[in-house]
Amino acid sequence: MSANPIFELWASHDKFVRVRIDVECQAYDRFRSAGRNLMRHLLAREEDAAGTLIDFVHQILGEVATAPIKLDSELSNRVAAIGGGTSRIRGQWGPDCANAHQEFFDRTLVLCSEKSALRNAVEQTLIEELESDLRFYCHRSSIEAFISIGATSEQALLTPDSYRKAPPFETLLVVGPIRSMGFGRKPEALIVTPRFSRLCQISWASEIDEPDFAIAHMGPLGFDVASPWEPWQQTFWCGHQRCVIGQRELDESDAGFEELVRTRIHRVRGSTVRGTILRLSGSRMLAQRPRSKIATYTPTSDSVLLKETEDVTEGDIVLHHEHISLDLGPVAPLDEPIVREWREALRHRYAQNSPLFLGELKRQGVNLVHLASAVRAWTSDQRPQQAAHFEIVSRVIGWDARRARQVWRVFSKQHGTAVQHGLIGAALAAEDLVNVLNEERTLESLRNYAARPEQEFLRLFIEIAGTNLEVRGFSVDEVETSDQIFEQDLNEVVDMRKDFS
Amino acid sequence: MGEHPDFVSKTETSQGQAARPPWTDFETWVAQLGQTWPANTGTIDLDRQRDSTGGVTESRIGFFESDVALTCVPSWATWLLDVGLKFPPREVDQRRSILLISTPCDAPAAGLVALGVVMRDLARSAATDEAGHAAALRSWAKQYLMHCQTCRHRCDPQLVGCGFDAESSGTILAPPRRGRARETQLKVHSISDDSLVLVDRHDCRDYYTATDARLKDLHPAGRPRLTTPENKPGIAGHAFSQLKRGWEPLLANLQRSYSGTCLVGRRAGRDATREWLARSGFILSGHRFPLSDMLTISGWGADSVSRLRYVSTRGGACRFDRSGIEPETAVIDGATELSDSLACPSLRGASVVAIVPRDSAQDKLELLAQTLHELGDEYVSEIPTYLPTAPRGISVTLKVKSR
Repeated sequence: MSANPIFELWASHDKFVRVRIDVECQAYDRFRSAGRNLMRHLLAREEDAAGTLIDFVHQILGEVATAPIKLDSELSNRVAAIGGGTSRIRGQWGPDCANAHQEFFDRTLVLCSEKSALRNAVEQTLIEELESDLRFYCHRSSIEAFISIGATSEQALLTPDSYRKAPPFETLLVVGPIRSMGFGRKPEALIVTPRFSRLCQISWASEIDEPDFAIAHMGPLGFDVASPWEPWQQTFWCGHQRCVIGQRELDESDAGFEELVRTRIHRVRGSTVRGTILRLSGSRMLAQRPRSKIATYTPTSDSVLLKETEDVTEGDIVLHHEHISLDLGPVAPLDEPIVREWREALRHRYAQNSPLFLGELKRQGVNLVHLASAVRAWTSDQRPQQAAHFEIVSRVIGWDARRARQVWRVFSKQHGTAVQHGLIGAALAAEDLVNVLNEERTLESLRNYAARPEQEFLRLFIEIAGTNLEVRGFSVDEVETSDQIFEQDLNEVVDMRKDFS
Repeated sequence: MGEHPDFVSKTETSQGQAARPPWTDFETWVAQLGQTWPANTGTIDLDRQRDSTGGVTESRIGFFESDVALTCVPSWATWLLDVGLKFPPREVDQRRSILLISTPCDAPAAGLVALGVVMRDLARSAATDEAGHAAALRSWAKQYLMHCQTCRHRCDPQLVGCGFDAESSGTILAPPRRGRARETQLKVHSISDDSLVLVDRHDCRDYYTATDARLKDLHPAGRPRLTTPENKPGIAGHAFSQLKRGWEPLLANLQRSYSGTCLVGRRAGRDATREWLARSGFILSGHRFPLSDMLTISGWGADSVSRLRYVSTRGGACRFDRSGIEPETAVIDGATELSDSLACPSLRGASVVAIVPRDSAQDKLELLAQTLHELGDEYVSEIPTYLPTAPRGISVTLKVKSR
């Protein structure tokens, strides 16, 4: 992609135009309010299962807010199925949650009984812009809703990367609020680097935009976020037509609620660590520790490389598999006489009177549950894991501290070699894996998958080091760093659309 | 080594006698480096000197980017080149500065700024490596003898954790012996405080004292020479001269390596950065000059000397492509790379020009904001008065170390 057309676009526009069409709908406001009420009740239950239910409600609210989906029985059925239905929710979560769920369901039915004004507004805009070069930005799961009212899949921009690679165009259509978090969030690039002449935003009137969108990141770069833009041209959608009726007061509680949901879900799910989150095709995510490596197919270079997760970019295909490590054989024991002597002394003392010896060790502080088997292992090829335990054992068998330290140094060296052996074994296995994945047959499958973004994932079966391995390839939508990754989610591909019922 | 008559430095030709310019051999250089103009792009109209945005450009040459060829250099590219040319060296401004340039898209901006800095340094008499060459050579030899020679692992310094940037092969190249065309390969044998001993393949030993003048003719295999050989041309100053009207290099500098300036490449790696920079460049006489070749990074072009060091940030640690003096200017390509560089001890003293596309991933921008916040009160914001007005879409901010 050449940069010159973008610079030309900027040079030819003093200001970019932005239009926001607010769709007034009381039924939607009530629906959203009931959904949030249910989430609040679930948030009060600090249990893991509650967190997953909250995710589900959050996703339904997000889809209705940010896509022109058809409001029909499919939506009401999804709401009815939350948590297995009202009666199961009553049994598991109590009457408060059950009542909140019932209210949410009732209001969904009311919303579905009205024809979706948001969908009408989007459809009308698509008809008006039929001749112009229009693209729309949406969540991958919302693309069908756009296509069903006349848009084409070629017009869709689904990821920040697809936007980054798009040549300049005339109009960008976005549905829902412009926010940096939550379902259907928008990348900052839409606002700070317009590649279009006109931004058309259609949203439910009560869904406000994030007031400080992108400012925190652009301030240090000396870039004024508002500078490229004309003031918002705000219009309201009443029934089937637009009418300009002035500025709307912003409800700043919205962003606060998103924040509350995020932090509370984290609290429910337990300890978190820092790492990288790869958002994958098919609403999946993979979290990894910093600097961990993953086999990645890059369409531009048409090869599989071992990339650090921080280096993975949107559009890459990550290849996920179970952990493998090549066995490099046993670590060569450092057969030093002093170690043999120490083991011999230990064996001798243990053989003399084992109950007395073990009792002495326990009394002095070697409080292992299976002490006897540990001592037997120490007499052959193992060593105490803790230096304190080693010191006690050495003292009890009558070794002076200086000689004991020599033995400990040898043990440490052996341990270091073993760790390095393991590291190198894993690195070699990864290299072998990459070699196998770079075979033409595999690359062919990866190329085909890369050309078909609608396919959720690719399944490959390969053989490495005599083991059959299943490798799944996922297209990367977004890469982000987070310090709130649940430890239980690390290295696992998590399906965000699990059936929670 | 005697000076080649073609490459006498500007200061040495002040008698009114014009030195023969180094680019008399330009056509050879073109044939060696440039790729021919693609048949389907037609003839370039070099008389058209306005780009399609109306920006007036100073040069009379074309510009290419990916598969698009322009008949003139766009104003944004000229401006970025100017940034590098006008970025003050430390002898002008002692204070460390961080110049942040944000672009609306992923452009070859870092390559253009780096090219400007290379041109700036070609005109500075202080920009040579001669002072630190002997020490760098000895340190490289010592690394081979004490570590790499006996290392039992395949060379991956990060995996082994030895702390070095790259392997030292111990092979040193010396000028060709009489009657030979190729350089003589020598191997490091031993080193002491006052001597360096090299052996050739016949096991003949050659002794060099710590201050031996012949050391400047040696260079590690795979790394650039300190100066070009007598019978070869240096960097083609002609191409550089055409980019900026009125700019002239010091002729001696066209023959000398310099390691005080570096380009911190993308995390994607050295090859990916090179590939990216090869997609853009200038067009002169129907030939394409990719930025990757013009930057004179060791191993990227045909030049035997290098005026720019490459710094890899793969894995978050900065690794230089060769040892040398402490860098005084670093051009950094990307937000994450800036964070890595500011944490790198070797770049702690360098003034920095960092290019950040505003459409970078959000986590990268977050990291950048955090990094700049951590600079704290030590740095104050100033207006870069030495720069012309930035083209639309580009924003500039300058932070200068106040104490």
